Amino acid sequence: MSEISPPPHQPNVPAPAPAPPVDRAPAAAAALPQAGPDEVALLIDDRPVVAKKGATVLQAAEKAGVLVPHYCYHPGLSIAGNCRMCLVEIEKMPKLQIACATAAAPGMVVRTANDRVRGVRAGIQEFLLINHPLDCPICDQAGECRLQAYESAYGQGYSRFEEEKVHSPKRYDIGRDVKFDAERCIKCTRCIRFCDEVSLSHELGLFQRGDHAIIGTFPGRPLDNPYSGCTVDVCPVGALTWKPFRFKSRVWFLKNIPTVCAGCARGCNVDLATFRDRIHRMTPRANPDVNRYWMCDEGRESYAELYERPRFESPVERPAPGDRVEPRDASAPEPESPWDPALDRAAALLRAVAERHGPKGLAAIVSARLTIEDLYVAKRVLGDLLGVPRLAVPPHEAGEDDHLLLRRDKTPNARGADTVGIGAPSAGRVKEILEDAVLGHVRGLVVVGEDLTGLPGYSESLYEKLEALVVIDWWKSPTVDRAHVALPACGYGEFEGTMINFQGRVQRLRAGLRPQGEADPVWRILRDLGYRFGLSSEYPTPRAVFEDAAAKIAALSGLSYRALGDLGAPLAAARERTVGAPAPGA
Amino acid sequence: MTIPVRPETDHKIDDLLSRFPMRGSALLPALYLVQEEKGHVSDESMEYVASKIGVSPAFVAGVVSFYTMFHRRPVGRHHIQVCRTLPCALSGSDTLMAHLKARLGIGDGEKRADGKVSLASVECLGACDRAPFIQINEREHGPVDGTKMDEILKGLE
Repeated sequence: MSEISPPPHQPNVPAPAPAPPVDRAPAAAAALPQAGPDEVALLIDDRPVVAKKGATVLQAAEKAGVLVPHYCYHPGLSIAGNCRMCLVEIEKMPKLQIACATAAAPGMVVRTANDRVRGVRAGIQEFLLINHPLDCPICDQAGECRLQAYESAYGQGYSRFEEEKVHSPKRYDIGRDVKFDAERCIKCTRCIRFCDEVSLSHELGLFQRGDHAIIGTFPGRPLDNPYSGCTVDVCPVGALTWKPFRFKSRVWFLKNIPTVCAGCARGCNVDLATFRDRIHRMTPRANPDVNRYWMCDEGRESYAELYERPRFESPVERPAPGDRVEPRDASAPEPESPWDPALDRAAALLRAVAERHGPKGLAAIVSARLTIEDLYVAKRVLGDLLGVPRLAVPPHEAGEDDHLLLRRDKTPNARGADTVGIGAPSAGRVKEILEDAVLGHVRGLVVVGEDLTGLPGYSESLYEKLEALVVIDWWKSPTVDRAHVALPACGYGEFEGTMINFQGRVQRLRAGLRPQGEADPVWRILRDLGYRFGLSSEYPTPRAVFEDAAAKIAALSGLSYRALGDLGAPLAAARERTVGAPAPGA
Repeated sequence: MTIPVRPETDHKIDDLLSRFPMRGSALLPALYLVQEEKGHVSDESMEYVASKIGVSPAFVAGVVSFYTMFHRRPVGRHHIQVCRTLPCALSGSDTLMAHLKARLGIGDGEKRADGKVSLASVECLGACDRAPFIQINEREHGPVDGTKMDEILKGLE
């Protein structure tokens, strides 16, 4: 991935202006390829193209690698055909046709870049820019604005308009997190169609007419739906902007990391835009099998938590009852890393509990927010090597499922916990463990990625009997404050790994930020702890952990980071159901 | 939601809806019925019509704001509309508008304090052959010049 990435949420942004094509005589029909019963064959810029029946000329061209510029067309929305930017010449049709609303027909001969078409594009650009404020130097969309991109590719480069521009309201709140600048709007109506067709919330409308036309909301009913940020994504110009991102960074400085949102069990595909080790925004990445082109506002804003909640940066140790570990010799040299002493101590505490009370005195609570790699190593180290008999995963259910993306289950990897053999999230099992801790049956507790406060069965008194509380987490929490050993883990955006969404789709998360302080990925902390219990296998990378898991767990068989790609792949059971079907994302 | 119109109007709109194969087609006549009763189309009326037709209030507001024949605020007893579209503009509708503003002492889109007259420039009234053209409530006049306008105004007194 290059340092300067293309706009994440705007498929089909034009390539640099193609060389002016040579106008040839009508191509011979003999050049047409064979088409199947549900297909049509046509010529686009002299290239033979086979498209699905019902596809538009624009879609057929896109498939053939010919980019037809457009503003109002969006693959996830109905066709409005109002921007006229996609006009193309079709043989035997006297007038130019809009490629977005013209069905590709057998034998059609289309020209998308001859002088006539380019003349019209220049005209449309001139028309759209008549009342545009041209405030690119201060516009947040600069760098990913279609008006800019198309002007540089197809515009005439100057304006003949000398009159006063029509002035419209600037930068007012059209919704909680969305600002609207009416002067920049080109009335493509993508945002209106999004609210009417996708979020089904119908807040936006087009008011007035002609050069006074303006997008707006009904009095007293602002843009307020769980997906309002998507109206900003679909806006091809800088009219709708996302308030949390306004003036945070110029987009050409951002590096887009293709990853997955960890806000709920849906696992929407997203691009994480980072600059100087900080996430500046999250935008949806198209994946037809998971989130199409959309994501919810809750997920879009979820990264803010990274900067609001306090983290702890290096391992913390506190005295534990019956702790027989000798205090470190003050004259000894400082350890190079605080990790080894902390891990030694955690291992010693847990081993001491196992010796005193048997493995039954141990239990672990791990989060379904962890990756498959984290959970798999947790199962191996805690379950298999240390012999912890009970590993439980707390459920995180809040809100309701909705018609689009939102899931009641707020853990991104509940299926992953089940798949690696730890078990599905269960409030009952967590409650049992915590109640046993209060009674003194559980003396050693490992907690990964969870705060005990608020879990079922939690009581302040459980700490009294605990002889070993080892906590791995990325936030500071009341549990971290009580831990005998607290180990700092990487937070979202700092670790790599995979998760399984509620549909059973395995997807990759990628890291875009350097870990804060001494923080390490959970799988590595657990692996290093595992070495102290005799873990022999080498897990140098999350990829190696995943390969090992895929080799041992039937549901993951056949999967690898390469096979998952950017769009993920279903679990084995789902793949068997669709034998012979094209590979996902193909 | 409380119904902001009289029961007769509500029944009339129900009757309208039964006569169109697509409910949306009844939007303009329904808005006319509301305006006929109230004299203008308020936000409340738009929400009511939207719920009757089954579209969003924003969509209804878009239609109401598109057409100049719907009034968002009460107009005067005599509502003077001056066509500003090209043929009327070329025939001097702007001069006529200036004359009216001076005579009535109000601007475009304003209503006189006594509530008797309001003035608005509007899109095509569909009478280019009689440009410049005006409409006062339901009555049409054209072509109209300053003298003719004064006579018409006198008739309104």
